[in-house]
Amino acid sequence: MEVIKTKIDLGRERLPTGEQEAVFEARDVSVYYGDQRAIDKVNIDIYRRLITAIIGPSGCGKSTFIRTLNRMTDLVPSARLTGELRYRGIDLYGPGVDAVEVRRRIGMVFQKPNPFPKSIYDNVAYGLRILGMKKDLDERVEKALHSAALWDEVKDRLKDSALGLSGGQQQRLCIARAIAVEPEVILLDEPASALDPIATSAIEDLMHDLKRDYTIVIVTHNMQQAARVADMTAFFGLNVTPEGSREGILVEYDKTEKIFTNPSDKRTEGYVTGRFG
Amino acid sequence: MRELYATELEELENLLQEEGKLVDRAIRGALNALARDDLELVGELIAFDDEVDRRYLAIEQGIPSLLARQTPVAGDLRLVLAILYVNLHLERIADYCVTIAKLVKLAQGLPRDAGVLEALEEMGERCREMLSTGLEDFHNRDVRNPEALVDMDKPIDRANRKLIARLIALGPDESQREWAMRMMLVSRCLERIGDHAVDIGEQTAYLVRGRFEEFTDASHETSRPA
Amino acid sequence: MAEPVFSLRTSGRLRRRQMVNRLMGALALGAALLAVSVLAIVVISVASRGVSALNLDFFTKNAAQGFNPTGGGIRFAIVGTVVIVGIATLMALPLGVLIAIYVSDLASPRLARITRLALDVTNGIPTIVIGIFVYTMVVATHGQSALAGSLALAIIMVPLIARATEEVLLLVPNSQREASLALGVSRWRTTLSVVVPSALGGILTGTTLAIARAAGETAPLLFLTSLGTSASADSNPLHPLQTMTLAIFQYFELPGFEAKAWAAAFTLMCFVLVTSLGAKLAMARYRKKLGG
Repeated sequence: MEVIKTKIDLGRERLPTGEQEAVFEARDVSVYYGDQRAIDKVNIDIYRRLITAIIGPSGCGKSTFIRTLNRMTDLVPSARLTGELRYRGIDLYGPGVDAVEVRRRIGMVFQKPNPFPKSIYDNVAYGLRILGMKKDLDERVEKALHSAALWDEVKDRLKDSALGLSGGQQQRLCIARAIAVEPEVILLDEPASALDPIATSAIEDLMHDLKRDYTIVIVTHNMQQAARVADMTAFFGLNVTPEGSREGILVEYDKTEKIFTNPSDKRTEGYVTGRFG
Repeated sequence: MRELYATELEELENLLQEEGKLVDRAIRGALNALARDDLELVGELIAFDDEVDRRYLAIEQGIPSLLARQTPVAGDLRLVLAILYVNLHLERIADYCVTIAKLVKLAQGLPRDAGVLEALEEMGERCREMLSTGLEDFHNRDVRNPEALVDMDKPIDRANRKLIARLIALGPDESQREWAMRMMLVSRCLERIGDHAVDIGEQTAYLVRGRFEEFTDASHETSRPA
Repeated sequence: MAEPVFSLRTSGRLRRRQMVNRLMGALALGAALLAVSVLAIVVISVASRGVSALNLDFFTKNAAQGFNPTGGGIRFAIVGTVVIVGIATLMALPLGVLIAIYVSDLASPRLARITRLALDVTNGIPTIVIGIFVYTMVVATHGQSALAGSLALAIIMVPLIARATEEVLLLVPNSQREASLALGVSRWRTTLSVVVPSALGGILTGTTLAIARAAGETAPLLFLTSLGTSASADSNPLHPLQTMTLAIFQYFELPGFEAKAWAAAFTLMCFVLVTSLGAKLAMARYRKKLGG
């Protein structure tokens, strides 16, 4: 009997327990654009080598939040963050922390595939060259393309322009480009929203493979995608303040299975069922 | 939002309650046939089972369609799954009613014992009560007293055990023994109907609480540390 | 068949609207034709007067010298223009591109707006004013030289190059910058290795347009290089050198040399027309490539 029980539980062994290491720890994180608060007091722990999905309606700040994780929000001059966001114990927004170094460790893939107008090879090699990882360049490029499940499709045309690839291939190339520089975390901002279902499946399979080595955070407005790929799911909701401005809040954060079978919060239930709220 | 989806879910649940009412009539019919030794009613009962089966099949086919097209999640997903199981339980109860009807037919002309019949009637009424409580709680998402059904089931189980002693004591005559054996099976059917009603309560609890727990579990009761 | 309940044929009011529509269309077409015909008349008249004087000697011989000159060509003018405009380009190109990078990628929106305004104002300064400015700063103390001319032309070219370059830098999708920044590449490296290469074609066409414009400038050069003094017969930028526009000016002043002036004008016009058109076409194609 005991043996059977362990077997059934195997699928969940990597779900957070007390000892699971939190890579990101957000404490009362609020983000402002000028005077406008975009997200209000988010508290969340994101765990190592799990896929964490962030879902929520448009304007709930889910993209803003994922961009705070590698300080891409810095690129918006009026953006400001309060609260504390620690990455492996270090305050990401603390004094002396270099956003460029942060982004090297925490890679990001965007909604629309954005390969450079260069060859497939040069796209992957770009970061490696600039960051001085030029040793064994060919091997590194090949390894990244392998990891992104793209090698077999492009190995005979590495010198061709990346713009000649299909949308799904371009997105996997962008993932290869991101993992080539050996980040610790990969942030995916709606990575499959511009892709057809087959390309989407390929990306989802790939995420599952990458989970072995990377911590993955994905923003998606496709709830079924979150249900399919994520171990943990965070639901961001919209809060309308008494003054009438809209800001994002973290409503519920739990195991994906819990969110999609028995969410604790009525607002989550309303959103995932799409029936009310 | 998602009007069509909401309507479809509602229709499935209405169909289930409708099926429940038919099943209740089937139990009542089986009890009447037994009490009056009515062969005509037996025939009607067996035909009536088709009515139940029609609802059963409609739900059985509606659920995969709803799952495939609407991918229900959260509370909706639990509702669909609960309907799936309750549907199964109702169909089984209806089957037991048919079995009882057939047993009545087989016991035709054998010497009857009024005390036994009364006890069976009592069991049957209890079953009907459990079924209606179970379905009503399901409809109202009521889990204030989830164990009520278990408590209601206990007398049925007891009656079933007592009945066996009484049937054995009926007498050595062959036709009496035959009738006793038929009635034992009737008793067994009613006892099972009670168990299915308890299971409907479990589905209500799952639907509302979001996790499945068996109210009574024989395999655990013995192994559970004191 | 049933009588239709409404008509889709034109009614009175609609007919009047249609007439106004046609009238305005015709007027606009007329204005456009006028503009094109002015260009055509200029080109044809310059060509008809200038072509007769065109021959190989005209391009390879030096200007006629002496009291009663005959013959002569515009070799010095061509050489001088190439040197002066070439040096001006060398000065203006890096500066213009750097300003454009600053405005499009590095400056805060406020500073970018101010810089852009400054460029537009510079672009609007009458070129003769720039000529006077350079005269006071350079020629008054060091005398006339090709270099002084180059300096004036560079001042004219910088805003042109900067604005054209900025425009193509802005055409480079932001997603490309984000892609690079998200790899942990600094802003400056991102601009240099992603944005500028993508915009290179556009920068070159913008520069070509600026060159065409500078080659046709006369006013700022009038008292900076060679006018009033004899032009040097070499290509040393420290000496005053002849230019195409000044050659046209001088030949036109000289009795009996109008044909040569027309020929020089025709040559210059052809150069400017061809380079501008070519650059504009290249730019259009380039913009399509970047935008699509």
